[in-house]
Amino acid sequence: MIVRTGIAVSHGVAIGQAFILGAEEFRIPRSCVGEVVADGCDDDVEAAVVKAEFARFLAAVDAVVTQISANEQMVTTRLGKQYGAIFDAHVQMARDPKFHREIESLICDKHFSPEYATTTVLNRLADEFRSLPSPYLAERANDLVDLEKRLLRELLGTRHEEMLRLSEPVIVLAHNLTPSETAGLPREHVLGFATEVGGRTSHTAILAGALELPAVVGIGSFLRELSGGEMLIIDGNEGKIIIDPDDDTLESYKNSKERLATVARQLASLADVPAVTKDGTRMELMGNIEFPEEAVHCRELGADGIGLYRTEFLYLGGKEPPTEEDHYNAYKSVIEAFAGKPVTIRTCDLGADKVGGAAKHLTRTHHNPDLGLRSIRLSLDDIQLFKTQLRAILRVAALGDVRVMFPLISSLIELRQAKIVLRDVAEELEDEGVEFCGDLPVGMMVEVPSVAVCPEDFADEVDFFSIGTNDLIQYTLAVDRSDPSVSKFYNSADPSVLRLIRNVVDVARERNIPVSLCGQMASDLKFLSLLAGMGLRTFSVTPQVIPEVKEVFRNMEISKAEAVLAHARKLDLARDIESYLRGELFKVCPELIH
Amino acid sequence: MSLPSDASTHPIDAVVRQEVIIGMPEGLHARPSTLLSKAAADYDGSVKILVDDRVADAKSILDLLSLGLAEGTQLTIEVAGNNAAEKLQSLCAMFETNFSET
Repeated sequence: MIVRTGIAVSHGVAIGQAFILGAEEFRIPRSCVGEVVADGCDDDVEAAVVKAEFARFLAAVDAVVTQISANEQMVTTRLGKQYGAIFDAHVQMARDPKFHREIESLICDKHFSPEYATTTVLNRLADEFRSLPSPYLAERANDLVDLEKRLLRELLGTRHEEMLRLSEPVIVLAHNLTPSETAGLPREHVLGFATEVGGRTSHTAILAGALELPAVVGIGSFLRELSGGEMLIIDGNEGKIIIDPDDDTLESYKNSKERLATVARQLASLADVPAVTKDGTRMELMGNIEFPEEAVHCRELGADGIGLYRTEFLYLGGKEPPTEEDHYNAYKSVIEAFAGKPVTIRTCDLGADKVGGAAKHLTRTHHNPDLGLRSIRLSLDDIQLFKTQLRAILRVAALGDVRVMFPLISSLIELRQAKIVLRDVAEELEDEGVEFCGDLPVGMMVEVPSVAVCPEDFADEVDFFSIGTNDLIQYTLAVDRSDPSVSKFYNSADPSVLRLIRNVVDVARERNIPVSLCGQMASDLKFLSLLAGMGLRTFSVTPQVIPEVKEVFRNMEISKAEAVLAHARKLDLARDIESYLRGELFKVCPELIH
Repeated sequence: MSLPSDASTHPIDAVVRQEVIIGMPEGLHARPSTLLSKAAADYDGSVKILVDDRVADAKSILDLLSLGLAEGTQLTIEVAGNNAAEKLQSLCAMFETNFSET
């Protein structure tokens, strides 16, 4: 049994067999040939599987030879025979009998996958070539790298097809999954996934939440220890993966999964029961969504509105930036799903790790993207793009209770600039005679320490605050959570973080402006009493956890929550605060402890 | 290891050897290695290239290239099998003409 920790990005527990999905630029993990062998079936079956895997390798060689020959013909025709000759060498390499014998032995005797065998042999040879004294020959290492890529592309191509033919659901493991890969996973065959890289705010993580797949990312290198086919547990609540769990662990996860499923069914029936504490305080529960399609589900789970509608999705799909109509239509469907309830649209928060598609041209590569041109800075840098979005927001505000929120505000100047652009857009719409609503509430995210230490400077200029804990923690503690070597320093319970949150809530209450918390911290049940103790009454969370969060509130007493806060303030270590909060949650809602 | 044999007296399963020197300025690079491995692959028996204490399977272009042989290197071609002498001769001829196109 091996336990590895990463970042929990999508709640839930998945138990199943590991399926390793490679990418060609990724070094293929050592993997055994299929599940049949892993299960230790009889020798005949094993021999048949091994033979089939070697046949897969030979088929890949044939396909690669066909490709190379086609290239050879093209080059010979265009440039002459001497140029085409190099492809002859490539064909000869692909067909090399000694290479094939070595691959066969690795597959048959050591049970390597064809992918891993190919990578192993060709990388070793490439290293040998590189050490040759003749620079000309040393360069032939590149031919081997090319051959490796071609073979892997073929082999992985067949793997992808296999994936589509899977009959049993699996847990998908990969070095990294792009948003399109995540979205393209056959949903009915995937129980959850775990990746070596990626952070909580990476697009993949958000997408996983939307698909409601338990997921852990940023685990660091672990695929090399796996061969595929192992029993695996993904604990999307605690951010752990357990490889080859022992019977007790497996049993306990299975039980807790069943128990939670039962609890979830019970809570689902309480979706329409509002979150009112035992002592009668009404808590407002909003959902964080990314895709318009999530809105309906979010409402079914009993959300009081949308507290954070991320709009980055619109920028990540196509090649062109989204048009005003693209924005408008997406927003409209969310507002219609939440008729009469508040929907807070956050303007584009692209940059850092969320770059892709249309947005690529906007962001300049820099080695420290989290401190670079991202989010509101990006919007203010490309006013036209910003205006397109704001126009759609103001137009759609005529249809319902829409609020607009600016992310990553770090100075008053920035906030004022953003508001000026908003006013300009309203004037333009006015001049054009387009229907819109110009007096919608305008709020800002509080997620940069410069704002959290003096929120009073901002309170008079906005209609509401929404605390974004993910970035606030990252900037306060100077930790990039997606970097596995420092992610252990990222701690929501750090006294400094709690003090900043408390400060923002105190100021907002004093100045009488609404304040909510929309970061990941609100989805972590153990923090709820602490946050309620600070005076927070509005929370925006991942839709799936809404029923559980409501249940915690229904079992809470504000006076007790205040006592929890008072006690937690006396503790000086994040670790102690966390375990104290966990214990307190257990006292109130033991059935919700995962 | 067998001693070099006379092909005429041992037409079957003979082992024959001959030394050659690499004349190509770039050494035994990709093109000659391709041609040599192709010629060796056409042969039923075994073809080896011996350099100092190293041995390469001439049917394997990867083996040949990994020897990293430069111009002027002296190597031994060893052929074992049917009509070994004939095969050896044609392989030596390739080296003598520096693997020219024809």
